Amino acid sequence: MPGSRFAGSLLICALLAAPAGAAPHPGNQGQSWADIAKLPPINGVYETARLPNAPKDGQRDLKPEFTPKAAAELAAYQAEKRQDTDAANCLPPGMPGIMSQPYPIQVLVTPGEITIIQEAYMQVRHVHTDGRDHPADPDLTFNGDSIGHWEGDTLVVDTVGLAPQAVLAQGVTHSKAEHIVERYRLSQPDLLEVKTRIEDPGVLAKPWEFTARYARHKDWSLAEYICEQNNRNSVDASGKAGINLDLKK
Amino acid sequence: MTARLTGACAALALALAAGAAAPALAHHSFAMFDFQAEKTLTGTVVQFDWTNPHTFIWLESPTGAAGAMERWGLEGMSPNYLGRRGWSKTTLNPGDKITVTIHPLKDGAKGGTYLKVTLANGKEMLNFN
Repeated sequence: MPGSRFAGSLLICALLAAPAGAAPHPGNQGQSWADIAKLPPINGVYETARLPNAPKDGQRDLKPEFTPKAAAELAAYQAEKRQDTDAANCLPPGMPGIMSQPYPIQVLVTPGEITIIQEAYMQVRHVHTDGRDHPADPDLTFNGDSIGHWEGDTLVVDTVGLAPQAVLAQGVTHSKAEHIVERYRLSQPDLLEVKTRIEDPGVLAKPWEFTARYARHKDWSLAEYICEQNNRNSVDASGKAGINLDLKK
Repeated sequence: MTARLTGACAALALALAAGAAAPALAHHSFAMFDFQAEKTLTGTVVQFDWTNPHTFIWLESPTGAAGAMERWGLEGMSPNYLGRRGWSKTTLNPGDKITVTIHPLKDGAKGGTYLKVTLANGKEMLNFN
């Protein structure tokens, strides 16, 4: 029927003209194994690099600057002089802390997804590179919802949907608006540089930016890490740390 | 060794004070250990836990009254960390005579975090390296 054909054409035109929620990114996005072979080879096992000129804490080259409200919350937390954090009870830190543990990570590039496995706490980050957008109302999780795309030789990973337990900074409550953008690039053949920018307008006075570097170990593979296997450390609700020294606990 | 560890702890303290998201040392803080004190124990290995998140050396040492044997629980880095730095699950075995340098627990309990183990053959194994 001419009428329905007209309506169909209108629909197609509307779809073409609509501002795309997830505009396709130009260039090679690694949608097939053949395309992945042409991208920078970031597959591998890496360890946080302690370079001679690295800052003392290993990688954070700038401290976060907080809004007055968040700074007051942090000051109150520090006044409590808690001896430890929930990590002592084996709770993983979530993003961004899971990216700076003293254990290796593994990057796996597959068509439509880049998987970043952290040996510490055996965590997995799924970075969707199939062109999808974030869910409109994502469930809040420790590692968040991540989508990625390539801009030339740089992998850009965008993360939202972080649970309250995902530590932005110990003693500070982040908001649902926390937004992390990481830019991964091989700055040397076996050195993966990750520039991270974190926004959370009610909490961070300005975006928190830092650069981490990961050295590739071609002869390493990840090992098992079950934190509950023999965890003798603990922290109670008041922040008091404990250690279980019974041989047969 | 001590200087290096003190440096690591200073960095940790700094990171915690600054509210940084992730201290350089994972899993738990070292607040319960006295990093100003070092204690050397000589004794016999009862058991070596090659487990996550920490290795543990269980040691019988004559630290009690009149040299009575006492059992110590000594925490170290994980097998994942140590295993990439020269250690293995058979580095220590029950019955081994060893000397261990530790930072003791502040509360006086018979425990601590080990820094260095000297094996019967004189070989030194470091926890943080």
